Amino acid sequence: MTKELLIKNACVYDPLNGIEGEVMDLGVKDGKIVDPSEIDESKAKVIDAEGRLTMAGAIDIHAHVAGPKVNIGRIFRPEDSRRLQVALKKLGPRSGTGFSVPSTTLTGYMYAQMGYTTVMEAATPPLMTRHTHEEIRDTPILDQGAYTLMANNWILYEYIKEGELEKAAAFAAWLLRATRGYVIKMVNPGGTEAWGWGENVHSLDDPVPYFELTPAEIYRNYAQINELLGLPHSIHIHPNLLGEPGNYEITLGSWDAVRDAGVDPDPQLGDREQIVHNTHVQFHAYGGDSWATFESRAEDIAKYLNRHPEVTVDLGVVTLDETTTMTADGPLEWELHELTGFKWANCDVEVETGSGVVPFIYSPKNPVHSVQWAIGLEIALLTENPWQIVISTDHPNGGPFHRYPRIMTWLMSEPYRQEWIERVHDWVGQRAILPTIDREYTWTDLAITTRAAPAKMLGLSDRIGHLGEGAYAHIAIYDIKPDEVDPSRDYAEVERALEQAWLVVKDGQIVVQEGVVVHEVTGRTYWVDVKVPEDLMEEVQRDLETKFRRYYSVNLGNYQVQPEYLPREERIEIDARDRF
Amino acid sequence: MHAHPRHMSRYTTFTRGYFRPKGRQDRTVIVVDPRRTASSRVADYFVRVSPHQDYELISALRAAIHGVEIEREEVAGVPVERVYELAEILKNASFGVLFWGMGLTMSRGRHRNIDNAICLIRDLNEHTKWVLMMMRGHYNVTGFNEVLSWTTGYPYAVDFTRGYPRYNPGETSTVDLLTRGETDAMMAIAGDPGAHFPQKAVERMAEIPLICVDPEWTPTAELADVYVPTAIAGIEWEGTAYRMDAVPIRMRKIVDPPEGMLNDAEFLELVIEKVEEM
Ligand SMILES: [Zn+2]
Repeated sequence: MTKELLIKNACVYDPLNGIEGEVMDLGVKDGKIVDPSEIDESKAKVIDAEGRLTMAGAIDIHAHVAGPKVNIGRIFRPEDSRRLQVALKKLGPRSGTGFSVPSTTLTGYMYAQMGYTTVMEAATPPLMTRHTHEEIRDTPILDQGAYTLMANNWILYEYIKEGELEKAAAFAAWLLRATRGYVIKMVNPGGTEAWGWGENVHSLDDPVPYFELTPAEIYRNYAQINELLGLPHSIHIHPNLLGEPGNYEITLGSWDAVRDAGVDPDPQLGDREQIVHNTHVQFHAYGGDSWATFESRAEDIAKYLNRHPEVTVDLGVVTLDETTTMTADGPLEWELHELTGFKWANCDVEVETGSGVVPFIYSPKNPVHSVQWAIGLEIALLTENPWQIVISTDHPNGGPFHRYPRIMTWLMSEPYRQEWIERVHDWVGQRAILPTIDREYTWTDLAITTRAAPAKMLGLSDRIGHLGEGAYAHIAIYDIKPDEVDPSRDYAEVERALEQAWLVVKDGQIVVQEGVVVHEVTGRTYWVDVKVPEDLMEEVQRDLETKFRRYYSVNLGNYQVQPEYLPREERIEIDARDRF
Repeated sequence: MHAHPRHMSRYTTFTRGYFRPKGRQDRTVIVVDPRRTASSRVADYFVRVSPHQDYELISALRAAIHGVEIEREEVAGVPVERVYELAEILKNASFGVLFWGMGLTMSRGRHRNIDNAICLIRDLNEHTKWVLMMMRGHYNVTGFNEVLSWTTGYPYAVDFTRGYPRYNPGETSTVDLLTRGETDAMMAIAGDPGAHFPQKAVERMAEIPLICVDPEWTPTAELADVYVPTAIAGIEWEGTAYRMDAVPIRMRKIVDPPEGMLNDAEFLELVIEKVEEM
């Protein structure tokens, strides 16, 4: 155990503290960042970074890395495991497999290797969340949190239909507590429920079978619930019609529907500015009305973002790899199966949600895939304010997370993009505008879109995403000197450096040295514990007793995730009692 | 009904649901089996399939669903009119589930029967909503597959001899290793291969050092050189078991185990400690 650490001559990019490439010293004591003057050099471990690029540990705001559907991906794709086999002591002490759906150990190692220290699991079905936490527990190094799927939940639908918004909010709080979840996650609102009948919803005014709520109403109510509870993150949405030509309209309409809720960001922790976070926005930015007329609508998406700081996104970049798609959007996975003829797994989760898994091969020779690739980058480059953007692939949907360094480098180097534009299909020149964009991300843009912005959006910028005093000592140092390289020209060198961090510190411990995991620590699990008025919660509790007896296959008493499943919980306590 | 006694009453047939308020009356049950069984007696339709002809029946159903004319009087012992009638019922369900058991994998055609059943479900989803679920036995066998998959990438038959997990059923599964005589020691935990494995594999088990870790005295324990009794998970010890639909259930401890009795995890930790000393 290292107690004290002094890192000298680090070239620091730390946007939350206004630091842009300053060569400075960093002190680490008891797992936190301290003023270097507090470190006793005679006792501390001293490391000379010699001017290397240094940032806070990176944050993935949306990845599918743990839980039932990820494991379905592993189980039904042994060929994916065979594609990447890592022996003992190669990347770290233990072995693992999996290219697009890595085993838990390998997931922890490969993220840490790139300097990532926080990874949020994007979708957990409430009834099966114990499984998600078991995988999180078995994933070394990373701090994590699970996003609780709520947008197709019968109990929430019933309350909303009855006009009981406060009860719905109390139930959402109960569900976050029961699942030890961090976020109200919304996937294809209404559509996944309709998939219970083999159907989908096709517009914001298309009512869900039986419940007769429309996606627009669902957005409005959930946004109100989120701000009533004062959650650190906003609602986190995957809109309807993911991946369909022409869907940019329903995406923008969904953002309008949230704005119609008439709420302002009102978190009890942090200072986020958004009322809605749209995940993997690339998949929701399509024009045309068929695959033949498919085109990029990144400009429309970026234009909206430039006018509305209350909307944030992560990218969901397509990396042009063979991968595994997985989502709670059940009807979408059926369509992907129909489209590709590849094997298909489906899971309906009683009362709550559903999911599907289908392998996918993105090819640079395919016109549509090539345009998809361009769209993710276009949105990143056309959106003026990087604080609205987080780099992601919606791992593994757009591509595996270990391709992030390549995405970062594409954004930082116009020549690197041109090199790829020549390799992909001509449609990128006709149906997209990427070839005409010359913006290049700076190191600060990179630090914002991988550290500072996701920390702020999640409401955790008091503790992660920066290197100020008191922050958790999550530090990533890369073997590259910002004053000696020009990322635009030296892109190959930049990509290599970002793939394998020179040094990664997690909670004050050195976990990665020269791209290899040297030490494992136990990650935190963030979850939100919201107090709502007691009498309201009692009423909801009574309703739940009846509903569980009638509709669930497990007892109410057996539903909640026990504390044993979170070996290192970080409970975010929110007192929302006088907000009702 | 006998193999999974709670299945019909608690999960699928008699239970009332949100969209099935009258329980049994709101549901249609079709049982396919070569023999009449307790389950077939509560079914709305019983389809007596000729033994080892499941594949043919599934193919005929698929043909009927696609509207193809079947130029036969009967398929797999089932009259063709009946096949068409069944196809209509399946197509008109609002949410259908095909449950299948060992009978399908252990009869002629084996895994190809399942392959065909998966195709049937796929075809039905072009008309309405259908899913398929395996009727699994052996307590927490699903949990074992889940844990092994997230830790190694593979559900069973994992070989670690090269320093990384490898999976090649037919080569790396326990039965294959035993029958080829490649294994020179064996530890069986909470399973009873002595009662279930083919004779050649069991013969090999008898030849080599065998350790059996199990709460119960089993045929495997009988064969073993060392038998280690352990606490019963879900009665004498807490833990997690995965239901056959992969829903993880918290198993609570109800009574204390006999004094000094370890659970599986504690026993294995002690073994690892010793191995690390060596
Ligand atoms: Zn996702």
